[in-house]
Amino acid sequence: MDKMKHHLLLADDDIDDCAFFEDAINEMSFSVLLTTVKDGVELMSFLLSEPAKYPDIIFLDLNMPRKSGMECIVEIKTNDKLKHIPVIIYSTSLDKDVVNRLYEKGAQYYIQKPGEFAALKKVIKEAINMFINDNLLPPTREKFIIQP
Amino acid sequence: MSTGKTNYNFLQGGGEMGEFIRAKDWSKTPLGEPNTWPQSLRTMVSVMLDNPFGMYIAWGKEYTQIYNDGYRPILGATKHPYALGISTRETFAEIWHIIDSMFEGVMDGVPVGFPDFMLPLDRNGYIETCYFDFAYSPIRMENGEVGGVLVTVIETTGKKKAVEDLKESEERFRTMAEGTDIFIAVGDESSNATYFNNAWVKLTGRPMEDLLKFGWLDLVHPEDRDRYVNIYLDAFKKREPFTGEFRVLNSNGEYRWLLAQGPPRFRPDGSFAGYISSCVDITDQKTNEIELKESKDQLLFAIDAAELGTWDYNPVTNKFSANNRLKAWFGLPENKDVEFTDAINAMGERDKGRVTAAIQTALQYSSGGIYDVEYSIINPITKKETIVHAKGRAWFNEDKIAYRLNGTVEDVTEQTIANKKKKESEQHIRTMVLESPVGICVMDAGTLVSEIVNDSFIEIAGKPREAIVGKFYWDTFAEARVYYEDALNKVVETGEAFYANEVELMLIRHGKEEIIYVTFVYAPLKDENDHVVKVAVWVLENTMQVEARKKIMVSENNLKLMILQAPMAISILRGKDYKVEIANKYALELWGRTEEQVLNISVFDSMPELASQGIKELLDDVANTGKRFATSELPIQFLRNGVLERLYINFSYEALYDGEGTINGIMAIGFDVTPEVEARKKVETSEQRFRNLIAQAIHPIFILRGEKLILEIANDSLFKLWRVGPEAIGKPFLELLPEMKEQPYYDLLMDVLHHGVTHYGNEQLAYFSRPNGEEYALYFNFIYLPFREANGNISGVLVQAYDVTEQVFARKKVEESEQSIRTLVESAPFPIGVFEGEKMRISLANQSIMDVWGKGNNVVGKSYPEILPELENQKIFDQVRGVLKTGTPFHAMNQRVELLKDGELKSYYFNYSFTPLFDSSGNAYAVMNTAAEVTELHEAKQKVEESEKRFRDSVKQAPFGIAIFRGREYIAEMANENYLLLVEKTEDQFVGKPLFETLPEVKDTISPIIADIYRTGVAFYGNEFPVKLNRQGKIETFYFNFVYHPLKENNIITGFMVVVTEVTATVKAKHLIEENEEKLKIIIDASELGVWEYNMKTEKIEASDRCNVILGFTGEKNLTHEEIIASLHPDDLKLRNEAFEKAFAADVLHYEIRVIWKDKSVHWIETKGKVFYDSNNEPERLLGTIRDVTEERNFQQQLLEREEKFRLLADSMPQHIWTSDPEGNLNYFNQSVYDYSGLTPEQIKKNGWIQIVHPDDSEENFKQWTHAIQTGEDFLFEHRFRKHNGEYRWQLSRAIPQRDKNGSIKMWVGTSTDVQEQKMFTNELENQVRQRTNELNQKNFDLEKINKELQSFVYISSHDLQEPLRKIQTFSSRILETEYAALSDNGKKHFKRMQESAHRMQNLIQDLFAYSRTNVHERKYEVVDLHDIIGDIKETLREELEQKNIIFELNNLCNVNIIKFQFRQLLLNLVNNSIKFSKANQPLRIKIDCAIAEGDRFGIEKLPGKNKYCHISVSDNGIGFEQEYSEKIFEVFQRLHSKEEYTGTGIGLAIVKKIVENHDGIITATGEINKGATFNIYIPAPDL
Repeated sequence: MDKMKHHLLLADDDIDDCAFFEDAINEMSFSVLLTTVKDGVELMSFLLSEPAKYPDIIFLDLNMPRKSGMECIVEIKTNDKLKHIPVIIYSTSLDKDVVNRLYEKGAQYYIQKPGEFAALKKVIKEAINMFINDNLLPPTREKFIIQP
Repeated sequence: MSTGKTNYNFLQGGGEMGEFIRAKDWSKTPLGEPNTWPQSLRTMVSVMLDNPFGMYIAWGKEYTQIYNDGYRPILGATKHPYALGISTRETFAEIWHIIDSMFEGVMDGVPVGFPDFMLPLDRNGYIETCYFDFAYSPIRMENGEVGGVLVTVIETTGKKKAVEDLKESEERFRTMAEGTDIFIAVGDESSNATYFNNAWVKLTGRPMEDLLKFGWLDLVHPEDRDRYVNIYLDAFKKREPFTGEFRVLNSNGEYRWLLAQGPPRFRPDGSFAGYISSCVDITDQKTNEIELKESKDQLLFAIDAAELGTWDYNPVTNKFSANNRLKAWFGLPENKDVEFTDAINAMGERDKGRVTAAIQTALQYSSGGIYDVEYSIINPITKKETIVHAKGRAWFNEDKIAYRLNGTVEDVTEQTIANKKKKESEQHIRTMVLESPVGICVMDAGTLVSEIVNDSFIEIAGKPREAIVGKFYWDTFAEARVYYEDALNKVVETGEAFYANEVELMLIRHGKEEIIYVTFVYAPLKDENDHVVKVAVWVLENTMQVEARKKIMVSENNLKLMILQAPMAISILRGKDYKVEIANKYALELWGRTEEQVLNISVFDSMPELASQGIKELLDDVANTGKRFATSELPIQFLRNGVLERLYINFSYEALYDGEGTINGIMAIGFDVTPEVEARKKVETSEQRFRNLIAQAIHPIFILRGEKLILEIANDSLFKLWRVGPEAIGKPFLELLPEMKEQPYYDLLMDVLHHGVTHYGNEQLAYFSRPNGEEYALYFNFIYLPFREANGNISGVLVQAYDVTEQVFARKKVEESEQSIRTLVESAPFPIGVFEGEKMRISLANQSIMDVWGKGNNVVGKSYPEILPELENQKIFDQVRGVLKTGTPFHAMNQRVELLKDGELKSYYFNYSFTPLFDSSGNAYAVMNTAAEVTELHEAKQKVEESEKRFRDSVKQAPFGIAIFRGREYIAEMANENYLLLVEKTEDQFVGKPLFETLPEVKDTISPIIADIYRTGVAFYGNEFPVKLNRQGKIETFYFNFVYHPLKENNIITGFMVVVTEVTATVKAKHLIEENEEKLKIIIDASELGVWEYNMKTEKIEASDRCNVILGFTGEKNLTHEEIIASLHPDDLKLRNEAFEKAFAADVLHYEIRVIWKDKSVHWIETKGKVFYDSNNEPERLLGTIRDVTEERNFQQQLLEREEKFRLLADSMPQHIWTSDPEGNLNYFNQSVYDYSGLTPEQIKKNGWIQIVHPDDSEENFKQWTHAIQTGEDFLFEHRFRKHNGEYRWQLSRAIPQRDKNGSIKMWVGTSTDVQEQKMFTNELENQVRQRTNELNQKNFDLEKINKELQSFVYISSHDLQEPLRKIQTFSSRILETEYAALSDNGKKHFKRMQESAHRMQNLIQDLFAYSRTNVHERKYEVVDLHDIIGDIKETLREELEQKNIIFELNNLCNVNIIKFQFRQLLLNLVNNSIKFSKANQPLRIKIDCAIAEGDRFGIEKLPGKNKYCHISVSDNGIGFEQEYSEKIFEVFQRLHSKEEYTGTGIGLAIVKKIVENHDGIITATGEINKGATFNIYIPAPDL
């Protein structure tokens, strides 16, 4: 595996959104390996399967069947083996309470799924860039939301 | 002169007291007999008795009292007549400490007198304060010493009391009027107000002067003024009571509602005097009335809207009220009161009990008062059933007793019926399936997978549940598939059920192959479209039954065979009526019936004789319990060949069972044992009887058998007699008793044996000579009976013997002894009789006793009482019976016995004895009577004694002196005690000595008299005869009444007898009278009384000076009758004449009238007098006193008027008014109390006022009242009073203590005001408020719920709505990006428009979301610098601000108290709004100002005056708006421009407004087209 090839993991039950994300990645110049899972249960079993294959970044939708994004982040951030993986929330809505809670739970960024495809590309790119630039320090609350 | 008590001159006359004094036994008082009284006392008593006014004498050191009729009233009810003759110390013990020293002074000769002297007398059972004018004067005796006190007295208590009562009454009026909290005013006859009490002054805050005349009217509310004045003036015109309500201005500037009531006031002469009005404050009541009415209207509306029935039940009166809707449901009349039972009657029968119980429970305090029940009602008219849900609650008083139960009723018929049906059907199915004893398996019709299986099915299948449920049916029952698969499939296809009845089936159960028999059904279950969706298998296992049935068939056949072959009677009975199924020939023989007669017929029909012999019970028992019954030798009667025969049968009943173990018949097995039983019975019975007879006989009985007379049977008595043991049995008679050979008995026995004759012997002597040498002889009575065998041959002799030896001996002895007594008695010289037995039969009576009895000589053999019945009541017979019973002799000496002789009862005296006679056994069987008559001796002795006694008594006990003198020297032969006392000598000194030797001092006076007697033989009588006697060493003259009576012997005077009484005291008293009368006159003159005497015959009037003064004739004398009459008030003349007429009838004169003096002044006089009669009993003179009572009468008159005024005032008030003394005893109630309670003053006095207080309140009432009395604090209490009709009404009682100058409480004035209505209003109001609060809480709760739901709805919809929108945007942006080249220009445009639309919709959703959130979010206020918020906004809008060149102008920004995130949104929206509506050609300036000031500074109505507000204004120089839209712009979705011109959702400003309102602020907007807009926000300023 190419050393520079970043491994992204997207957890989203919406096939359209998964397609948009994939298109967006493909149109970027990064060398990226994208894995998608369709809900929280699949996500957790992927992360906990042996041998361990930890992604570099997890993009996590909140509103998923079986196990929600909120449940997943709590599990990830309380698991010693997984808590180092940055989790970027990727959701349709933007509820202030929810956002605050996620920030407290240890999410890296919060991306509200934008309508414009261009904007979508922009925010994903911004997130990946931050990672590449090793800039994934815990963000301030003000910079937590990545706006398109 | 004789010595009668009533004959003292000085005790004559004196009316009633005269009689008392004469009747009094004065010897028992210190004064002694009146004849011993000192002369001055006698005189004074005489004077006093004739006097018409009060006088009394306290005589001697003991102050012994005598008083006259005039004095009697002073002694009251308890002292008279006891005071007569006892000491003043005793009679007036309670005031003795006061008058003691005065009495002492008088006794020393100092007279004393006081006017209006106060004395606390206890003369009617209690201490009362009395006042007297009195004089105490000394009464001197002849020797100048003071012997006693004369008291002349007039009681002035009435006058004194009148004065005090008047004072008190005025005081009471004043304190009452001033002390009460009721507003009291007095108006005169010309309608001017003349008085207002303190309550008025306090209320109005004006001095009384301001209110007088019509001053009060200024304070009446202008709206009420004309109306009330009309009422007021109208009342004055009509002089009728008036009532009115009006408002009056109080000192706080508020109007208070008053209720005024006033009765007209009339003077005692009947003339109109004006009004007394009393007012009470009814403001609270008025307010409550209004509030209640409003709340009632609201409530009614609510009830109507909710389609509820309402009801109200009073458990005390059982009254039930309800609204019309409820009444319509219940079929109750609309406009009538109904009883609770009417409502209950309308309920469904099965619900009545339950509802009543629920009500009873709710009425229990412990239940919490909750009533919640569902029931049905059947309208009695329409018969329609309604199911209702009733809810309510009970109200309890302080005692936890329910006084009210009210609530609502809701029609729930439809819900309930639907619910019920659903529940029922569910319940049916559930029960049917799970509990069914039938196996049930429900499978899906398509897959044939079993879904529901019950326990019974599992049991029949014999497979575990998990092997059936959820499994393909034929997998489970593979072994049956071949047989029934087709059938099952057909059921699914056709929808018709398949039945299999008791089919044999091979099934693998519990792992084993088993053959079972089952009945089962495949039943199709269809849906509403008639498709078979399920198949139910119903299965019932019959294996056991089938197998049992088979077995039974075999065994029954065997049984029948066995029965028919059996060597004894056997039959089988079946069914409830025991039909004979089979019976073998022995059975038929036993019953005496043929087979046709019994087969298949109930045994009780074929053999009816069995019915009454308990057979059915035996059979039933076996049939019911299965227990075998067996018995031997049971006697049963059978009708055999037409004859009823008794058979003895050994038999048994056995239960027969069917395959299931149920009893289905009885087998009867029997064996006839009649012949054996009967034979045995006969033998046993006779043998047994015979032996018992012999063994138990007391007397010897034995049987001798055969020629040898062998002893075969004998009893113990015989053994004893013969002195042998039981071994004698079996031995010959002669061997046992060889001595009998020589005696006739042996031959007799043989005779009986040979010839069969019976022999009887009576008192026959037999000699016994026993082998041990004993020899004895006994007398016998005996019977020898021949003993015959059954064939009639004589085989022995039966002997019965009775030993009568003792009787024979005894009789002989008695005969001997009786003979000897008889001889003794006959020859005795004194009376002897013998009475035998209880009846006292005379068995012996000698001539002497018969002479005494005097009843002739034919007495022997008759009973003693029959001969002498007159002794019955003289204890004689009891004495005889006693002797007979006890055996003890009775002796009497000198006993009087009355005997009837010659038809006359005569007394005799006897010494007599009753002696018992004993029979041989020592029992007394008779009584011997011996007597000696002592009658003559006894009578002689008694006569002597009596005569002596009479003589002694007559002399010794004579009440006067008696002495007998004899001979020429007048030697005293005897002298009684009284005589010796008179001469002060002892018997020894006097008797046996010559008279003049003992009493030399009388010789001069007496000797000529005695000499005369001796000479003439004529008795000498002396009357008040003075005799000088030496008494106590002094010779003084004493006065005597006496008689000297000559005594003759043989016509020669040998002596004389003296009878004498002393009258010294009487004589001396007479002497004193004149002297004392003079003294009395002086005393009377000195007193206030006028004394007069009117002689009716001469028509002369003698009057004292004082009398004339009182009548107004000062200085004049000798007034004529006419003159006096002329001075009397003409109106009172009639009164006086009537009094005189009455006086002639009753002896006593008393009247009070007015006299007119010459100066025309009017004076009241009180006259008392007494009529005295001459010897012809004609009225002779009138003696009287006269007193001036003007002052007293005037006081009384005033008092009456005052009292009248007070009572009228108090009684006119509708409130209850009462007063109490400082100790808390209520002593006055106004008329209102009596009217209200219906009690009379006597009833209240008797049982106390507490009786009208509700029993539940009385304890607390008492406590509070006692507390008030003890502490002096105002009394304020709410309690219920009982009205005359039994109703209790709430009263507010208040009592205020009235204090004197020293601050001590003099009395309490209390009022009680009826507050029933207020109390009820308050209660009702509280209830309403509580109800309303509950409703409100419920609504709030509902609202919160709805809000929450709405919130989550909004959240979900905003989120879920956004997603497809976002995708539309993304997809369209993708198309525009990737397919741009392929699109036409039109296509590109349309895509753009689509994107914009989606974008707008997204904004709209987000704004709506924000708007909804402003409602509900938690309100967390914090104080924030407005700079921070604006900085935040600038940051958010940074890009836009930079792009559009916007200038912010911030002035005086301050701290604000806000919900931060909301306020941020607010400013953001306003800024956005400014940006949106900025002018294109001009840079936008946004100006934000801030100021803090008090609310009223802003000139905005809604901002309260004193509170501080923060005013934030945001203004711009944008396009502005027309002012008319200044309100509209804040409404949701209101836009002033098209979407194309200015984007926006039309929600932004609505959110702004909402946020401001969340902050309890207001927002306004002003604008001008093309000039700009300003938004002004006012929110409460932070507390600093």
